[in-house]
Amino acid sequence: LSPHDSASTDVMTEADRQLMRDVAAGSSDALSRLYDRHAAIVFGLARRILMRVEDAEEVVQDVFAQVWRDAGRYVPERATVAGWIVMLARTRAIDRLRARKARPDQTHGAEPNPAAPLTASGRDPEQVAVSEEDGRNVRKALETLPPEQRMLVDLAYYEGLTQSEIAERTGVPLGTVKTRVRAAMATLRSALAS
Amino acid sequence: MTASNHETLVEMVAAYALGALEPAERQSFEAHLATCVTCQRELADMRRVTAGLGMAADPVRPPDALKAKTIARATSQPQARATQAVAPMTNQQATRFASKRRMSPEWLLAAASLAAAIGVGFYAWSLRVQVGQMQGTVTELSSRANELRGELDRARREAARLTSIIDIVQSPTTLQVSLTGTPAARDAVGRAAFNATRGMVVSTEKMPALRPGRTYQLWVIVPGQPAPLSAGVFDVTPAGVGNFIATLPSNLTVPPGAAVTLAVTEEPAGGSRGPTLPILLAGQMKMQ
Repeated sequence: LSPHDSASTDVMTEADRQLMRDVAAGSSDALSRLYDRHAAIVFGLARRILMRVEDAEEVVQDVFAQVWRDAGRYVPERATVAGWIVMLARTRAIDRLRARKARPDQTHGAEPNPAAPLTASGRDPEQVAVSEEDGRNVRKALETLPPEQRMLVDLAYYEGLTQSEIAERTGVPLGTVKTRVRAAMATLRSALAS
Repeated sequence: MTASNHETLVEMVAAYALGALEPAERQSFEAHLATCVTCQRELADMRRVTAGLGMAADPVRPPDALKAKTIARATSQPQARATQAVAPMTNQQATRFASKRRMSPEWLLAAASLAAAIGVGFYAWSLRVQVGQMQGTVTELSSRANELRGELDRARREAARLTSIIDIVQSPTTLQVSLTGTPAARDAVGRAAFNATRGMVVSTEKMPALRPGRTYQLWVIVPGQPAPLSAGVFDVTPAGVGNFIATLPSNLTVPPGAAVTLAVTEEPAGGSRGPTLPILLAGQMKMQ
């Protein structure tokens, strides 16, 4: 990675933080600009998880509604804006996925089951100092994982399954699932920008 | 938190960051996380990985109409005014409670029970830690108390011994008896303070050193009695110094005016039923 890329990442990160401050101060224009910068990643991730465009659109609305509400709580020292938004997107998407599984008869407009978000994804992570460089590196490292580890990461991250559910779904013993999850995450972690 | 507990829980960090723990596992991990800086640091890195996974999905441009709808809906709600950093757990609850669209009673109830479950889990865990620490403290204190009790017992016995000696020596009815060495122990000397009702105190000097398994035994020889009566055994220092409170024979009856002899012999450890000659130290007293 060239210094220029790092520098431009820093500039983006700083610009995001300024936008968050403006959103916290009540600027809908700043929210609109955050949307321009991050809606595609939210929508892409939500669609990947939910496989349905209308559900992914709901997630986009949920996420930016929360950005508006909670911008004042955002602590720049703890998280990059991109990291925070991506984590919100994943949490909301998994919540919806679980809600849909709990009520399979509904074909559209499924609201999250009141209990589902709580068991599905735990608390909203506040501390995500992830950079865009991290994102690129994790993506590259993902390609290097052995297929059986890659599958586990996909099942956990994109389908929101617990380790026990993964063991049940795949027939792989729970102990092996746990070992592979740890190994896969260790590999991905070693790819993080220092 | 103990090291072994940390070892078990630190293995859960990756799965926790992925959201792949069972609810019970997640609760124990969160309880541990609240106090473990190592796991917090580890988790911060794992969060970067999971956020990176999110970024690794292909970005897809949402339909154009979605933007206006999203901004309009978002800005129609009030904003949270908390500008200071709060604890993540509280923050989460606050965040979720602030969610207008989802604030159904069922949801509130579920959120409340989760908060309660995490709270209770953490409370139970911190109680266990406290109880563990207190058990350690109690064990420590109780062994210290046993030591002190032992010391106190020894001090009490010593005090009782000294009181008894003073009691015997100071009594006006006590007889002082000089003991002198026989030809078998020429240098030996001693004193006895004899009180028929309170007991007898004996001290010696320059007695011959005792070989292992041997002891000195004091005898009371009363005219008219068929045999000497044992008044107990005692040891001496290498310099031959001995101090002891003699046990007056229970069947000791001394007629007034009788001459009673005190004699010391060397015997096997524990003492003998009758004296083994020669006598090493002896003295005589005349009863009043």
